[in-house]
Amino acid sequence: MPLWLFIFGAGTALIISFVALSTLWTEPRFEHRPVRTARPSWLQSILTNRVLEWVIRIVMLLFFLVVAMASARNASPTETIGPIVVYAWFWVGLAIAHAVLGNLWGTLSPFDTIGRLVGFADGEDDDDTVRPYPQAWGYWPAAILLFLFVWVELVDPFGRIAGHLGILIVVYTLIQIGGMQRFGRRTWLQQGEAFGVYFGLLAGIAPLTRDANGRVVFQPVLSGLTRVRPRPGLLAVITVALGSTTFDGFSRTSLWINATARIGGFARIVVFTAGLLAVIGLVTLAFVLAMRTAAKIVGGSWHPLAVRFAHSLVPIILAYAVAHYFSFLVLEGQIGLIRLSDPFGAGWNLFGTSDWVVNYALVTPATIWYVQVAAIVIGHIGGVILAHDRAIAMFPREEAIRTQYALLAVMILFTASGLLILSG
Amino acid sequence: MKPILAHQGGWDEMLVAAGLVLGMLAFSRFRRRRHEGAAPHERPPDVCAYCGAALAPDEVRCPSCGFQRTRPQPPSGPSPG
Repeated sequence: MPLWLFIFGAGTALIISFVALSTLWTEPRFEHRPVRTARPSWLQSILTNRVLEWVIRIVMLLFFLVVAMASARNASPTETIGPIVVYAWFWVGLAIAHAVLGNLWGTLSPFDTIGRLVGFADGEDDDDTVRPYPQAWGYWPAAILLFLFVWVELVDPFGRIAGHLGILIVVYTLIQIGGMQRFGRRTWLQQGEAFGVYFGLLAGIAPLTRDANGRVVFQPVLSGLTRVRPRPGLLAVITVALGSTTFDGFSRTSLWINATARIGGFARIVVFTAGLLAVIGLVTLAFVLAMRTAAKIVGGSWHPLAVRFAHSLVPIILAYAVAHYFSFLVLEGQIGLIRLSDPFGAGWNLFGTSDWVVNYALVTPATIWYVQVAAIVIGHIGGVILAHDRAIAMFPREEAIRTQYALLAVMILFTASGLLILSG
Repeated sequence: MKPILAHQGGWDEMLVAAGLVLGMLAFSRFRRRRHEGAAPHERPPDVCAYCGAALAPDEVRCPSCGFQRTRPQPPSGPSPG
């Protein structure tokens, strides 16, 4: 099938979804929806068991130390367990797991476990043992740290320094310890820790969440995103996540490869950094223009609208993560299983997996393409649904639908450009 | 693949999408005209534009979400066009 037909089909699917929502989805179904309360059961007692929680925490902390040490070794990226676990299992696999299972990072985070073991204060409002977190900072520390992570991944400025990933993991950990010590563990991890904020956003997609007692309950898919707290820097976190994945795809197109083939050294770092910033900027610009149009319709300024509708971009972050990295996770992710037996590349065979080889026939190119198209289309439809639900909760219905025209156009633009980039 | 429409490969298939959008626009215009004259959508003045929390008159930043308060908004009734 020709590419244009996929683009046309995807665009049509979005328009049909929009029309269907406009006529059939007349009341907000996600906004202000209370989280259900679960009854006690044997399953819930396992899921909320403190001993089990701490076993997982300690195991994850030890695994984190192994990955950090392996990443610091003077070895090629696939020789140790380090880079493949960081970029495939953690950055892609855990992101997808959050969108399916809800917030796992709250338990798996080694930074949270370190904070609890050290005994840092929570940092709640009435806590006078730590400094108050500056309100204007909001999610900005997370946005900056997330940008630095994707910059290291996609621009690879320290590629020539062997073991640089391990050094960066140590630096990141020290920043988290400093943040928790100064502003309190919970306050910092909820706003300043890049992966806590990023995974927390993706967890809003999941059909599972926890009630006030910590028990696991079901919720409609996507509805958790309506509980994302608006804070300064929210839009920056979302556009960095979205723009960086788009740039990663764009940097693999023949257009970019041919244009940058002869650039090396420091110039390459500058050009790739500029490209990354430009794509993040373009994604932000498209969304801001849609919000400016919406603001003209309802009156008032665009910025509060942009913040309140930013959550509608989160399903697209997941869609791009699946579309761009699904095959990377399934194929290259196998190297992680192999290296599990020999995490430091020292010739060990702890679990008998060292002699395994990567099965590149696990998924066919056709399967990968259809997963990519499905992810892109479903992700954008999810975005349209969230934006529509919030619009009808905020404005009279006719006005609400008119505010969404420009955002629908942006979603179609993102869909088309996403498919064009994936096709190379 | 079996073509769904009369023929495959032409831009005329876009007419389906364009028709849907135009139909939607016409329908919303029709509904808007029917509802013209309805009471304007009122918004309390001292409410955070970002999270909806109540604000004291002298608060520069919203205590709930941390955003700076925006300038007072004009009442947003049904706008022309």
